[in-house]
Amino acid sequence: MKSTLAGEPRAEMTAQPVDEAPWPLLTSGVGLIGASVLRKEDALLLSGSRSFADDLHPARLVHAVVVRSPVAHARIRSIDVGEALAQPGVVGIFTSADLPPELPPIPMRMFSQPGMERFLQRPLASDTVRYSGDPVAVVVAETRYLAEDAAELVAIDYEELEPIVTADRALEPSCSVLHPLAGTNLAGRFVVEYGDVVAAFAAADLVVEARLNVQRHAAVPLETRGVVAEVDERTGLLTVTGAAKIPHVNRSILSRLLDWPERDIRFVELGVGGGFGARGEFYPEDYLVPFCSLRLGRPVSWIEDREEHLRSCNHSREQIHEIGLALTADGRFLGLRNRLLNDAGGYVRTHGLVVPGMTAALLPGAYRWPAYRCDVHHVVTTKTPAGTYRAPGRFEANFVRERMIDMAARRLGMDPVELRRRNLVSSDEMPYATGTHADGHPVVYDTGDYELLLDKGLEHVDWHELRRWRAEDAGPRRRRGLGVAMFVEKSGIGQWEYARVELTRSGRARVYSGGASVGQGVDTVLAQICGESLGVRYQDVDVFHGDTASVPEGMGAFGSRVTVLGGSAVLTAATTLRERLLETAAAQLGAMPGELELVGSRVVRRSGSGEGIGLSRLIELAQEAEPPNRVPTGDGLPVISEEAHFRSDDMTFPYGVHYAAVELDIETGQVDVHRYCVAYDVGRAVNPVLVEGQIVGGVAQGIGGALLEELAYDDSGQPVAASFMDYLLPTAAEVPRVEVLVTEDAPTFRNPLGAKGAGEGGTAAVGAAIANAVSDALGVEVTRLPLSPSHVVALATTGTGG
Amino acid sequence: MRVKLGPVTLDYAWTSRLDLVDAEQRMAVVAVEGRESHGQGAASATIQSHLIAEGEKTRVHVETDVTVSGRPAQFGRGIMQDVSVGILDDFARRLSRLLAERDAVAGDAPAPESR
Repeated sequence: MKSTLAGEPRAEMTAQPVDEAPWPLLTSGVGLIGASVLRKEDALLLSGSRSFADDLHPARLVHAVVVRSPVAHARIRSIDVGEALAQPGVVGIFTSADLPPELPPIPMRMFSQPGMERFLQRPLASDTVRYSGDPVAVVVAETRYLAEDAAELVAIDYEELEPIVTADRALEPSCSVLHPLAGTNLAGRFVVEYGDVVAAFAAADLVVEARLNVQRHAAVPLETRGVVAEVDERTGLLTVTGAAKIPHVNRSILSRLLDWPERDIRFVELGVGGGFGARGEFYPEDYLVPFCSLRLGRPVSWIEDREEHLRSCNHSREQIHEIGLALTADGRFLGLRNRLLNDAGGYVRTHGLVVPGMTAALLPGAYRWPAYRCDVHHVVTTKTPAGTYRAPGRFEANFVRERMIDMAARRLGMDPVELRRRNLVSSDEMPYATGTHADGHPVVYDTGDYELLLDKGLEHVDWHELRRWRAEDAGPRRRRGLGVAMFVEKSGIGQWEYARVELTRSGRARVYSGGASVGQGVDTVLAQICGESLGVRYQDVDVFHGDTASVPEGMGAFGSRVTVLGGSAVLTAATTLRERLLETAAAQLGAMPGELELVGSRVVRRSGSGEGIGLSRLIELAQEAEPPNRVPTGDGLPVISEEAHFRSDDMTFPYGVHYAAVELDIETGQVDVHRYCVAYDVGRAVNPVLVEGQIVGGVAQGIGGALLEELAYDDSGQPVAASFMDYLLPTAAEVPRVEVLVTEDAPTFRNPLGAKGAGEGGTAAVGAAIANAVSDALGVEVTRLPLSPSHVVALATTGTGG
Repeated sequence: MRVKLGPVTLDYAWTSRLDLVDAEQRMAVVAVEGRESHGQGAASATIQSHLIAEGEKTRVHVETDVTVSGRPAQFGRGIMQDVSVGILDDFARRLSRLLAERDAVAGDAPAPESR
């Protein structure tokens, strides 16, 4: 992934093959790595004292409300803000005519192709709106109520144009063009391929073909988005609070859009109530709120409501696959070919082609394919723009591939587990170059024993017992089915991360990380890694992130990267710091560094004999030897500190298996998940309970995608699920108890922790496993999600998806 | 025109016109266009009414094609359906009563049955 926005960092460590790895795997001296310690974050959260964006009310605060298009596609004939502006308490209303004429659109920060810039979104629509929810004006008033009332009086005259509701329609020659300057609705196109696919299909004993759909749904974090911007008139410092995910990257984008120096912009992350890929990307409001604050000279707050969220925050997942699988009569895979339509919505947003790119790169999964071709079409439609959502592109890819394998198994009369087993990449083939690539980087699986994990999981769930359960008579209306889905995840994108570790005189450590928290337990994990490397208790480590004033650079929290890259950076800095400390102490004490250890605020001999030396004195000595650090410390008190960048151009590849047992009712269409198990190898679990938590939460979201959630649109392009009345999230009633088996059989050599990211494997294959189980229960092939009651009833009665 | 859709109250500034009156076919088409007077939404409808003789009675077949944007489009399609069916039922009931009262004054013609 490109990191040009935040500047190229120095690389201090680079990933290399295992026999040349410059680090020994960290051994558990203090016993912190691998320990399920309690979360450092929870005391503040549980006592209700954590602040979120909406808790911030600086003096003279005014409130912004965004006026959005009510229609899918229209030309704006006129905008009249006169009546709205005359309302009491209104301090400003801005339309595109008020924005600087040279304002560029919101840029892509990843995976772009030349020409895609013609599809980007400007913070306010000027002459054309392209989805229901497209921002047209922003109203600022003394209170939210007054702003909402005034927003209703902004009179906009729309001339409606053709709604383009499906990607299929968007590509028809007769379809109108959403971005006339581009001249096409095809925003991006690329092919990932290797081997001779035509020959593979010609030589096949069996070819299975299908058209498979994954429905549009979204991350829907508990906390909606929120931005508070404030400018200090005296210093010109613009503070943007409510940052999430990628504060440094977004500061850079904002600096460019506002033409305001980056050093005069501070991004601050408060508590973040869930991100899942969607929250924290750069959206129109991330420009509009600071812009309003600068124009009005007052702090401005914008807090998204749920209806807005469902129409304006990134949607995800909507893909159509026309796929074929070629294999031999004895179940050997020969080739996979796919035509993919990825529905981008009205504009291309910050992720560019990441989502379909990930689908194309990881569609092969855990299997050996002699030939592969995926022809990707990124298509604009008149719907909310789409971006990443937990396991982006892979939830979709896994559904498609694992469904095809089950279809093939049924056609061959073979056990689906056995068909998978015959085609798995084996552990002695690692590292395994799949032949695919993601955003230009070759996909090379680092480590893994896929068959071992498959078997461990089968034993863990007691597959034989489940097969017996499936064969039982469940009653006249009830059907039972089993589904398995295997997958390879990816983690640790974004190439590098920054960390600084400080040790104070009292023996308390501070970690400053370029990562970010989206609620996943970053503080705890980084404190464990720092504590382990430095030799201090994790309770004595304070972790700071998300404030660009105290952390000079960083990439953030996405793609299961914080432990992998952020943790490795902390480990590097803390290890260097410890070495420096012990060397300084050794010189003073006339000992070897290896004979010494840090105990509380003193360095002493391990043997317990002789004099020790206090941290205060060591810090003085360290500062004499070296000028004080470039970066000011939190409280100005002397510390000893080290910085590090950890860099890895290659991702790491955790892998997993989902096992689902469902029982469904053919009259009501209700699917009950009887058992659900996830086996996941993360290389090394820094905190096993947090890994488990990631997986359980991930499965819950996956159940939503498999059974319930759908951002449906009607023929006129109106979203029909823009509130929780119609957008159905899974509740405790639908989410089964998730059985988790975390294994550490294949640590990676691509970082000194051996760790692979754990954030997405819980979600990645739920659609696949549930769909396979429902297909098994009904003896009918599921070809689309979600498996809503009406869909299941249609499958049961007509044998098709209805 | 004011419509209450569950928790949401909507005021529309509206116009309607008779698009078609066909005495022979006993059919009329009314087109309605509305814009929210507070809010960004709009609504349009084509209401096609057809009179069908059923012996002593007359059946009125009403087909409505509605396009809605703005809040009501997002808030519960189900509610919108329920509310419009309710309004039509109400209308039929009142019309039926009105005709019955008129007939009672005029003579002994049978009352129409509402649906």
